[in-house]
Amino acid sequence: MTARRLVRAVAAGVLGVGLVSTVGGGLAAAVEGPSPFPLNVEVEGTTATSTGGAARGSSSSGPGPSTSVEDDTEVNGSGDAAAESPEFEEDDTIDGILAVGGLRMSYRPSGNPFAGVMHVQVTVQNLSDEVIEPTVAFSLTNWLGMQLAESRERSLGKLAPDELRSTEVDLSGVGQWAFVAAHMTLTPPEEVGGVEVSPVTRDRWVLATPWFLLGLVAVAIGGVAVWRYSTRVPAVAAAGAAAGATT
Amino acid sequence: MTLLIEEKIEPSPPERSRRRAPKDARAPKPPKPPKPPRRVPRPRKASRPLTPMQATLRMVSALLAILLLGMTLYLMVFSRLTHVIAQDRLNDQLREQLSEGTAPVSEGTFEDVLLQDGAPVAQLRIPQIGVDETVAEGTTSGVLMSGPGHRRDTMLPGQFGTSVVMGRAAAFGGPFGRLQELQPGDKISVVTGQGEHVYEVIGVRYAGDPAPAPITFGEGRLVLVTARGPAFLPSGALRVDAELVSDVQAPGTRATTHAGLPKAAQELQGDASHLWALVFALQALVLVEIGAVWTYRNIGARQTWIVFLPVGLLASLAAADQLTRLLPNLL
Repeated sequence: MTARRLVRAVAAGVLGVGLVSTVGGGLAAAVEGPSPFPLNVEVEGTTATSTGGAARGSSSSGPGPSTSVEDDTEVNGSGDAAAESPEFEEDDTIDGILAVGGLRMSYRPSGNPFAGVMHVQVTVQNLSDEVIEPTVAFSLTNWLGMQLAESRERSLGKLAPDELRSTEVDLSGVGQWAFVAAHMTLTPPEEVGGVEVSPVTRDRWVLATPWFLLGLVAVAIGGVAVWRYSTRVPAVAAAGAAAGATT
Repeated sequence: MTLLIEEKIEPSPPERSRRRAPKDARAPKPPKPPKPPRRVPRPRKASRPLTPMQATLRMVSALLAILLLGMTLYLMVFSRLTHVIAQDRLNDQLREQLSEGTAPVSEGTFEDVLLQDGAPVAQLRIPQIGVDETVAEGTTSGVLMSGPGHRRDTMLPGQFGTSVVMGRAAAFGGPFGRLQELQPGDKISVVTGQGEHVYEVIGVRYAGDPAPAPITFGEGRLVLVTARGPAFLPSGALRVDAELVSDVQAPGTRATTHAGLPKAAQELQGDASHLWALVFALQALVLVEIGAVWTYRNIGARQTWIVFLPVGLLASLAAADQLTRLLPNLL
């Protein structure tokens, strides 16, 4: 029996030391103070002098061509290799016509549990040489795919070359669905500069806090707690009476 | 014969309160009755012995439950801590290298050795969406646990050519979770061994959307990649293209080509190279469960909880860490 207790004590000690060292090490690493080294680099004139040092020039690992930059602008050497650096194989690369940003969204809850407004904003830039007039349609769906707000269409007006314009819309009917997705479809003219252009879509999921549902849950939990407390009193009284009867 | 009658006279109530009995004369208090239980205890049900099949089923269910609990805890809570600790370490390393002038500008280190996966290469700052992260070399699932990763077959940010940086959208702090909020014209700053470079966002696109025109000689482009769709349920890749508006720097030598890039380093891919570690972690979890059952039967419930709760938690977290590497790297 004593040996068993000793084994248990040793095992518990080893485990405790292991846990403390693991957690302590992690926390120590996490709360370690900032590095004394500043996060900046001083670049003076040319950046590559090919001295073998990585920061002071191009690395000579591998059979790559030597490169140098003079006056920060002129590039000599491996230009073609760099330009050919592959991106993503499935990309259909066309000359830029429209640049579209992502969806910026913000949720405004409402006193009506079935309402609630999602504010959606998108920015579009005309990269072509022609004036184009795209339209944007917004809609809102829940996680079941049901449409929560009617599709709202907006015209971006006539976009001059290089012009950048934002449009925003308020979509109501978020309700208590918690996770909702806003969708945007940008429809450009069918053809710009002789190039066929197809519509572009964007969508984004956002958590809209279901305050009414959370309130209902809180009330339900409180109700259950009160009910349990109220049913506890007769049970205790009965137990007390039973104890008195036996003595 | 006289009859003596002693008449007991009861004192009036105010008098009773005034007169106090001496301490010694007080009668001893009766023992207090035991406190009744807060609730009437339920009679214990006699448990039926389990068949071997039921026992096995229960053990497997318990193992799965522990694993799921560990996975959820790891992804929701501990992954954030892992990311913070790793970023702290990477940031310290990069600052030190920058101050010494040894920060990498190619795929090799200062000593001409190929950079290891996870080595710091740049500091990425996007003020509009609150991103300030140290970028590590490599884009496998394991590397992206520590923060954004630079795809090995592309140039470093600031250099002539295209640079691709990938980051997680939800797990491990989700550094690129708000990437979709970027709009054309927003600024991105990247600090590397060649100085600070500034990019301007061209636009956001999904995989398959038309890409911007290819870069021409002397230009630089940065492509930030993350997952799109609901958190933890990626439905595809999202890319942000940005063009270099500061001075272009010389490209460093790259040993990895697009054809040589491992599948695990491509977008939305898992990393199965550490499968052996997952097997060991699962074995450890099974051993912990067997030990817990033995201890429960032979020593007691309290001791089992005290010893095997932290051990089981650690084993399940280790298994969850390995399982997470199998999931898409942009999760």
